[in-house]
Amino acid sequence: MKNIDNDNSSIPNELKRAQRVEKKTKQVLDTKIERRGFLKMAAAAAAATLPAKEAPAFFDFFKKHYKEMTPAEKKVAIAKLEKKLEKKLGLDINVTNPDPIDNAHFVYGLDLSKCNGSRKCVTACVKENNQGRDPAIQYIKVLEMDIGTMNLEKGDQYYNGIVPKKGKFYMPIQCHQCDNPPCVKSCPVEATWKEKDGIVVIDSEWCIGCRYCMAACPYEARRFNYSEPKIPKKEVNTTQGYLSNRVKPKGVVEKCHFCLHRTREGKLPACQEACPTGARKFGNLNDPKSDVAIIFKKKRIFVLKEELNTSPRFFYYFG
Amino acid sequence: MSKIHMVNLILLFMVPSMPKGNIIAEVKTMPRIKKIKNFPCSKCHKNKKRNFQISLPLNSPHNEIVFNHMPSINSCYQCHSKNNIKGLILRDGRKLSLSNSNQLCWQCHGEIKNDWRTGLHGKETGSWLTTKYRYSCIECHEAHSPRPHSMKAEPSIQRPKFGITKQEH
Ligand code: HEC
Ligand code: HEC
Ligand code: HEC
Ligand code: HEC
Repeated sequence: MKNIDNDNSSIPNELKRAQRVEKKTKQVLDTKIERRGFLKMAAAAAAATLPAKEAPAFFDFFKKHYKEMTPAEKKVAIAKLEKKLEKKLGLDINVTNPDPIDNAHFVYGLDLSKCNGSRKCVTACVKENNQGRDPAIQYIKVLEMDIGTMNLEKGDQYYNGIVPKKGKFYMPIQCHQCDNPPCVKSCPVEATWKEKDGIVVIDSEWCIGCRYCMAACPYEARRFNYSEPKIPKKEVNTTQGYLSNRVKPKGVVEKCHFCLHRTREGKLPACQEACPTGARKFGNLNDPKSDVAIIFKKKRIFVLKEELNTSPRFFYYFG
Repeated sequence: MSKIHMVNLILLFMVPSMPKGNIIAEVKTMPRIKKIKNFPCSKCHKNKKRNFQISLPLNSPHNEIVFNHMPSINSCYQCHSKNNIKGLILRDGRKLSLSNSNQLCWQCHGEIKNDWRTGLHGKETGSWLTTKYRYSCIECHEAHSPRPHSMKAEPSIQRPKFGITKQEH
């Protein structure tokens, strides 16, 4: 009897579970769509109808898109973020939001004949940009490839030991800051956009974590925070750009932003400064005397997946 | 990822038109003098008349110097000034201070000289907006054994366990 009982009940149980899973999935999907629609309507909705107690939590839904904020509103948003981060990290945080510089046209060149695969750029980037250490999030991926080949699929990003290795060359890949960015087009809430100095930015306050942009990026340059990023307190970079290296919350997408909190203040990106071989060239294409402008004129340069018409601002050459 | 194309993009890229009020950064050579080891030389070198050969006595503080460069050099004084130990000497006899070693290298590496002066070879730090500082050759190439060092790579991210193949998917 017992056996039969068990058999009888196990089938409906399976069914029930399947139904439950289906229901749950639907629920999740529905809420996503709801929220997306909700966000679009946010400007029209009236915050006053909300109960006073819940107002602060809901306030986030009703704030303006970064691009539509007045300078004064930006100041408020920055102060708010500063407070939030200080509470979360227990550190004195300085949130900045430098504006693009007029006449700056940022490009990045990478000399494949110099790069030795040391990953000094990766480490510098992780530190500068407050990327989670565990699980490790790294904007730059360095592929080790056989000399004479150009198949990125065969590139190994897990090499270790003494570099450069015989018969290999190294190809670092990070966000290409495309002039025709598929990621920007794919974002349902406009949480990512292109600024006039060429940098594609993400507003982590606005990102809903749907990861459409990650699927759209042909260079696999975007990373997702599956969990709250873990950073040793001592290693947190306390100067944090609103649109760049601020410590991210769980569930948002992040990527390279040419260190805009540095570069918009005239500095060079952390990866460029860390490079021991001089393979990394960052600069202003509008400056005819800059190294990047001269490389543009003198060298045979190429970009990845040129056939996709993404028009990257990140190019490669053999120096 | 699919195959990639190598193209000369000079035509394809949209080079922006040059607006007025361009930013043109100044470029300077990064000063070297504070980084030179065993400086000032006069701490120990007081007797100016000695003429040493390339093999050093065992107790010299320069023992770590391994000479592995062009084959035609057989004396320290093909680069260092015999009469003035803190100076360098060019092949035409002109004198140079130790911190101007770039000019010494240019004598034989003319092509690199041009690439270096335009920023293609070597490295620049500082500000792309105001002043950039160009590294001297010696920052990356030891004068006496200039072949770039190999180094240990910073650790890679963990290879994912089964299932997931990419860092981000
Ligand atoms: C700590 C003391 C010390 C300092 C500082 C020092 N030297 Fe020397 N140097 C020596 C000694 C010891 C020898 C070995 C010869 C000798 O016994 O006099 C030597 C030998 C040399 C030789 C000759 C090698 C040969 O065999 O012909 C050269 C060239 C030289 N030094 C260059 C320099 C230069 C350039 C500097 C400054 C950048 C410098 N030294 C700083 C102690 C010193
Ligand atoms: C190819 C030219 C060349 C030759 C040959 C040469 N040197 Fe030098 N040496 C240089 C240059 C250039 C510097 C400046 C390095 C710097 O800026 O740090 C230098 C720096 C030094 C220094 C100071 C830095 C240090 O490493 O301690 C010493 C000492 C020195 N040389 C000793 C010697 C001795 C001894 C010999 C002979 C065995 C020798 N050099 C041969 C080019 C040369
Ligand atoms: C007197 C001429 C001469 C001077 C001065 C000179 N070099 Fe060289 N250098 C050579 C020659 C010749 C070779 C090629 C050696 C070979 O192929 O074995 C060479 C090779 C090199 C290499 C390649 C080494 C390798 O193993 O691949 C580097 C890097 C280099 N020099 C840097 C320098 C630097 C930096 C200076 C200035 C401190 C300098 N050279 C000064 C003649 C010179
Ligand atoms: C930022 C670091 C850096 C600086 C500064 C630098 N180099 Fe190099 N240089 C390199 C690297 C890295 C390589 C190795 C390229 C390779 O392995 O093919 C190299 C290669 C060379 C070679 C060998 C070239 C060849 O075709 O094999 C010479 C010669 C050389 N450098 C000379 C110089 C001279 C002269 C200067 C100064 C005017 C200079 N370098 C400044 C990083 C530097």
